[in-house]
Amino acid sequence: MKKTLAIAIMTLVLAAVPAAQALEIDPNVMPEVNLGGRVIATVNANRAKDAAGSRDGDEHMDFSDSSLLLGFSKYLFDSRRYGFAVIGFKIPEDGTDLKDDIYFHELHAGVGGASWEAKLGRSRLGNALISFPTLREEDLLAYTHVGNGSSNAEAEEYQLFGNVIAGNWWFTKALSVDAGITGRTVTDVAGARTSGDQLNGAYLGLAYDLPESIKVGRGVRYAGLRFDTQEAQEIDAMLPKDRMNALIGALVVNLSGNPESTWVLDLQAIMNHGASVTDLASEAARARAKATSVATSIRYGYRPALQTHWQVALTLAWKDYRDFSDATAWAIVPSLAYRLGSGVDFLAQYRYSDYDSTLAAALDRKSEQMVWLGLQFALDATFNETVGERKSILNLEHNMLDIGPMGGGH
Amino acid sequence: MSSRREFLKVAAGAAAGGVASVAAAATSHGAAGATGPAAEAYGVSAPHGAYDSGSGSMMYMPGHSMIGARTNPPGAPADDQVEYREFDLSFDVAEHELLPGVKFPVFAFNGQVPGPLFRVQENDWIKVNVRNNTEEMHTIHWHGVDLIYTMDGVPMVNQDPIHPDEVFVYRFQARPMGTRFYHCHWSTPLHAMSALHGAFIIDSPNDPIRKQFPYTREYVLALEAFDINFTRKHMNELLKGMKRVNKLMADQQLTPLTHGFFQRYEHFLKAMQDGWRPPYTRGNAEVSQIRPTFFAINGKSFPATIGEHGHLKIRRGEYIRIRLISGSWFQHSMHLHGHQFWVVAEDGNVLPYFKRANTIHVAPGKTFDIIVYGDNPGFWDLHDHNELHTMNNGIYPGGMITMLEYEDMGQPPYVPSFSVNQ
Repeated sequence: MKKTLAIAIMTLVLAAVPAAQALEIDPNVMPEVNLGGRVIATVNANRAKDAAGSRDGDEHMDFSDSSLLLGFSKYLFDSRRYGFAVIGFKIPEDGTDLKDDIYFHELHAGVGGASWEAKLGRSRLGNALISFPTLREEDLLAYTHVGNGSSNAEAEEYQLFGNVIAGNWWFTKALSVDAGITGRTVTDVAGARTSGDQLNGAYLGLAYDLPESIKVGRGVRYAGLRFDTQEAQEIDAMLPKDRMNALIGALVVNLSGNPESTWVLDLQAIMNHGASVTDLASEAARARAKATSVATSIRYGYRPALQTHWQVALTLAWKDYRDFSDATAWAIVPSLAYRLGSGVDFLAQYRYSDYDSTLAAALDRKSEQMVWLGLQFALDATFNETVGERKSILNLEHNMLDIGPMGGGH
Repeated sequence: MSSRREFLKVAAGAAAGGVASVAAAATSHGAAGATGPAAEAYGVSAPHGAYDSGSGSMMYMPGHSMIGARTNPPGAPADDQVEYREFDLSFDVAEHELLPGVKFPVFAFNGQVPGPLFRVQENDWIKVNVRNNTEEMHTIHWHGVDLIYTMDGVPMVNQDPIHPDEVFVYRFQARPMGTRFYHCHWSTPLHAMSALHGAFIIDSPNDPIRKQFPYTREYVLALEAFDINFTRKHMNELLKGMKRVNKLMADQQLTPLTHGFFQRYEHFLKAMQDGWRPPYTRGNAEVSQIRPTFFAINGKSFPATIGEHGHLKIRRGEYIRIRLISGSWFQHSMHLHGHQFWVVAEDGNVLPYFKRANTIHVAPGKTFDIIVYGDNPGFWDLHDHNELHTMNNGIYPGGMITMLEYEDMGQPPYVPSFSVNQ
């Protein structure tokens, strides 16, 4: 009898679930669907010199950072407000803790209006202001992002993505403030995830941002400042719970006014006030350590007839762990993307990294050279295009209700 | 925030304005230079050398700038040779409200949809100073007007396009009389339909229609179809591309390759052989699904066609003239309830006999004039009988519906209640 009652209750509960999940969905109101992402496949050759001067190396295939994004958006009764959702997954790097997984890096829903947008779910942590023209985002991760003090994993996904409750408010079309409560992934000392649903940080930023589509001539395209704070969770006795604060500043400047021959300078600095750590041997310790890092790149786009044929970039990065002597690292990265066709590119990149003695001892690596050669197929398609674009010319220059999500699946 | 994908992502293509224009250039010169059967084989024999594409666009002249320019093309009498009736017009980017709750961006003459109504007398000399307040190129084609070749408004054929911040002066004689219209002829699929079009009415004291049907009131109805999503997307792409084109032009670095225009067809072929690809080629094309879902009369969709925006009015015993102008992508089968009207003019020209009908098919580019006699008091529908065009975004009733109201009907026997979603 009890079993029958239990089954009956369970049946009722399950039957009630769909009604509880959503109110009314009008099947005639199709959302706009954005399909974005890329497959990037490279052959990597690595040569490293350890602290004692011995050399080692390997060659391997790398699909990491390949991703697929699905974005959905629709207006809420009229074109003044919109709702959106994004589902995206990435292929983690082989050789990391996540190597056999598919990682959902974007999984959030949001709403927005003419001067604001808010989202809730998994997304970027807001621990960097600009992106650099390296083939993959993680190629200079230690220099370009505020690290996750709660993670001892090698997986860059735990450095870039997490839970967010985030919002933007635009004072003008180009000037905005953004803020968020963040939840960085927590791991144990072995790098295994112990929690992914905590809220353990926050950020607040101010940015001037004119997108590339608007800003054609010389001058500043982006300038931003952001304060990022996180409560690093206890990993072990050497890495207790601790507060980390960081300040990020960034600038993007058009150096050339010729849209067929573009020169762009990217610059970002991170001042991480961090926490006190006893050594730099672990991922979490390096993320927590007080450090100053600067990354800059200059990129040239060859665009005859306003079609990109190829782009080259040179990125330089430097980082100093302030509490340690001889703990400076630097890297230089020339990279090339050659357009084979629309969205299909040949890629090449070289990176030289150098570590001072303290860091070299901690990493067991004095220097490292890496070469990438590969292909990428990138896509950015929109179906049922019914929602505007926040960064459109009609919105930015003509003040029209042509708004939509900042990101979506693009 | 700049995106890493922007580094890796290639540009979508050259200025979208080049899409249609390159295709047009290829078509117009195709018979002379295309491989395959000679044009003569199809019985289209042109005298040798009769068609020369001229000296090329001024866009590429060294040291040339159109910013702030005032262009007076040749071919028309000077100001002191004839008496001109002068008008000012502008190309603007505007946000247009089709009906409450639905706004969309448009290119518009004087910021309004449709453009201002011209009413002139036959054989008047007309001077129109048109200023381009947008970052896109434009022209004006005076549809159905027999004017001077250099004033016909076809870019790269009769004139250079009107550049941003340029004033172009059209001068011509208004003839023949009748219902004519004007529209932009640059990137026509977008510009003419969204929404650079307007009525150009040439009156005459000798109008036989007015003599036969002594009307005192008339109505001009521009019939329109709008894909507001395509318009928004396409305008954004155009303006984005033109920002770069204008920069290159200002720096005197614009080349035919960049904008996709060539002095001669052979130059186009040479560019193709050298690896340049026009935007319409496979792998390069922007695939646009154009699917209008809003239909309008004089820039308004039902129910905004009623009331202050002017539905049609008549009195018993009165003749009214209705001028129907297609500013649309589609044929519109305009049907008037309760009346047999006379079809009196087609393309502005008086018909040799006046046919009785209650439905008239107005195809793209066409105009029809009809005369209605007030002999059946009531409140009557005038609508497109392609009922797909009497919806607003798929919701009936809407779109291309208006009413003919008898002002002297008195107390109507039945007064229905209206709602947008019945």
